[in-house]
Amino acid sequence: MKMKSIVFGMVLLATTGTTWSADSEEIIKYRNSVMKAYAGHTGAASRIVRGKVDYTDQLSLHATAMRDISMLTGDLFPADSDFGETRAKDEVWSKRDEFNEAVKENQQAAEAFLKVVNSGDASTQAESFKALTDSCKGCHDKFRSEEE
Amino acid sequence: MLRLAAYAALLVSLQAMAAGNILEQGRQVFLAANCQTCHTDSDNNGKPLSGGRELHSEFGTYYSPNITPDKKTGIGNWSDEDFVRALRDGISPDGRYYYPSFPFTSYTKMRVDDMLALKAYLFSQPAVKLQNREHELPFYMRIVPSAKFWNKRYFEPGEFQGDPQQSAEWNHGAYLVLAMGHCIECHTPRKALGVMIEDKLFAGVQDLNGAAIPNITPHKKTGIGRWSVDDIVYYFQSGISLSGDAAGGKMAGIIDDSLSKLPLSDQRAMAVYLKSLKPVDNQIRKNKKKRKKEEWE
Repeated sequence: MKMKSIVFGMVLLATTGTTWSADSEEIIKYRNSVMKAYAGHTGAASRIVRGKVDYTDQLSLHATAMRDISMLTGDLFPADSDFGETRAKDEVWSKRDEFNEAVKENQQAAEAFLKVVNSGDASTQAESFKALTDSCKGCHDKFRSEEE
Repeated sequence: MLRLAAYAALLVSLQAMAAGNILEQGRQVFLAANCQTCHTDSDNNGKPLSGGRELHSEFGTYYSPNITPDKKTGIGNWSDEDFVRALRDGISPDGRYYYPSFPFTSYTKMRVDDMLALKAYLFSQPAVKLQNREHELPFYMRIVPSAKFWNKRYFEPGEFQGDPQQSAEWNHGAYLVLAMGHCIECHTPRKALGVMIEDKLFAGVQDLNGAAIPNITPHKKTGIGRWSVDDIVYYFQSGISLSGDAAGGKMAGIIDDSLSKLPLSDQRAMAVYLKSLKPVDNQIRKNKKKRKKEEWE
């Protein structure tokens, strides 16, 4: 909840005018960190799902975090945060509907995976996780530049 | 174990021959050689294999040609000899030399039966009428026969030669990586005139557009030394790296069109081969391009 208010505050700041560009830069830095955290949970969950480590009781934590972060991502790309050190492509803003749709698909996939994890049914876990990571890849393919 | 693997491989190829299923063999070659990604202009909803996809390089902008069996604009009139000559020698049916933007430098290592199976498969695909687009080359390359010069000077045609000291899986992986997947083409830095730097094969490069193409030699610090064979296979299947990042851009296309569609045995063989490469210490710098805010206002 606290996280959401912070994000909301930052988005508000970013959208109130160009004089807030310093805050836009902060949003970009924050966004980079949040996406890295998303990747961190994805990498950790993948090692549990693949049976590489035995921390099955921690999968729910990662699945919950992934779902929660997926709910934030759409808000992390406000207008005026399309400069500086970001790999976000122009299409994030120029094809906003398509971007929002990709974010929504990711949220649904993350929600579905969390449900599967919480159900304790291991048989569909790998498949559901694959659907989630495919939606990450699909969005990166369209909306993230290869330039560093 | 080794003999068992070799026996299994032999059995599989005998079965394939018995079935006479050249189209299935061709489909496997098509997937492993990944013709799809470059020969389809997917960014502009181009029809499969009809070409037109841009490839930017410091030697100009190249447009992939139409490789559908359309007789006028595609390769529908090509004979078997034409097709083999293109892949093995880098020369088109009308005698023109290809620029190495077309990776004949890798495909030359392909066995002729695989080339012909690939041709049969391509000819079974829908024909699309779409004229090829001319490459946009710098002036100095247009006034001299630069492609012919390059081919004669730097290119050595020849089929893949296995290493009997290595396992059947390793040899299969080497064939897939070197003759088919042509990973080396993007993952190797080049010197003047686009010639690969011999001691940095597969060691990664930062391309013209600033994209960091990773070092895929098993160097512990700068390459994929910490990745297990399973981790590499998982990456081929999902695009999820060791750090949990999901692939995007060109590599996402290569995973979707090629790597994820290969049989597990192929994915494993490729991973085993990559893990056996000589580790090269080559940190790919992330040259962060800063986009100026003023451009957006």
